[in-house]
Amino acid sequence: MKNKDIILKYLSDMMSDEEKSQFEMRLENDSSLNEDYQKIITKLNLLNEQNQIEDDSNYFSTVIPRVRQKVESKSENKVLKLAPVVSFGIVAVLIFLLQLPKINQNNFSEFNNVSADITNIILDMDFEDFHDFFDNGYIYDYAYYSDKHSGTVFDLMFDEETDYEFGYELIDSDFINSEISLELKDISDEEIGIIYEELLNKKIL
Amino acid sequence: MPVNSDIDFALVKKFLEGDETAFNKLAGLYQKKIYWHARKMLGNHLDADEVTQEVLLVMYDKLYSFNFQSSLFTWIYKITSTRSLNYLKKRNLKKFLFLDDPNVMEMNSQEDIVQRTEDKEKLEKLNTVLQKLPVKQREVFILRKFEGLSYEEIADIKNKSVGALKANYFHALNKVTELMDEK
Repeated sequence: MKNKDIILKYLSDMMSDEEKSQFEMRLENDSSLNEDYQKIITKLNLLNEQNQIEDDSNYFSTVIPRVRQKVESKSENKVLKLAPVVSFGIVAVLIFLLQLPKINQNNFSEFNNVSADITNIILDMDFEDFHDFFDNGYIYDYAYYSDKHSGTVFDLMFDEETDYEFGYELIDSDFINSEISLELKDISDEEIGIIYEELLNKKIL
Repeated sequence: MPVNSDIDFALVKKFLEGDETAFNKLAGLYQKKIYWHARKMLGNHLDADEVTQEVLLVMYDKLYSFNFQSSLFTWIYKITSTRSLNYLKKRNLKKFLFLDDPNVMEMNSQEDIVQRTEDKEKLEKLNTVLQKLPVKQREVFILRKFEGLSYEEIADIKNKSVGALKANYFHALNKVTELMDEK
């Protein structure tokens, strides 16, 4: 084992008492080990030094008043709070959007309508339906049997010839930059978790 | 390091009995620790400020569920850790969607609670190393190296085995020393 590995094991408290005593004895007698040990300790001490920072105490006197303000405005707005399902719908649409192939600006307004429709459908779903909708392909049924929209958008969405650069092509669209980005600012931790897991599952991230 | 549990418990009880000033005292005791943990995890002032406020808000809302079985210190660190990690996820997601607002990024570099040039330089160097560590390693390293927690305390906060935490710390140390060689 290299000197560095043994030293790091010692510093990480990964040794038994006996190994520790042996290491400490070796440290006294082995100049090469001792030299390497001192180098590592010097680096770690430097980090400690970098951690000694004087902060602005005025800042900390502003935190509690700001939190208090939020507590008050939160209780005032409690009645107006939207049902969680609304945000969940946006989350679902976001995941949906990220799975789509590229949509160009010419199809944007129709695409926007389709998205609005799909959002409405998602709002009526429970979590299980939501997974069926995407994972078991029910969204394709919707796409092909819907008579509300022309085939152009759907053709683009599901065209096998389309280069599937999931998500990236949509990112510049006004839709993302308006609705979704606004929602993302106020998204809850639970929703972030859902999006994150879905994106990971679908190997988008 | 843990703050005095008796004082903590007394303040929580007072707050639960309706004494709002007790919350201010609790927040005052912990806000710096919360801020600096978030700051080292996230690497900038604005995000750390946001997380600090979020954690205090959660404290305010959820203190009624505190069961007095573990230390308040552990309870607050659990919230701080979760919030910081969620904030990182959110930031990565925004980055992925290119939703990062350039104006906010500009503000990030201007607004800070560190004023002295020497301190700014030190923090920047520290940050450069920390932000290159994988998130799990970064967190264990910060908690143990800078906040002086024992593996047992970190295990309590992270709900992980001491062995796994030791391995994380070992790898973090290895990476940190390599990164410092690069400088």
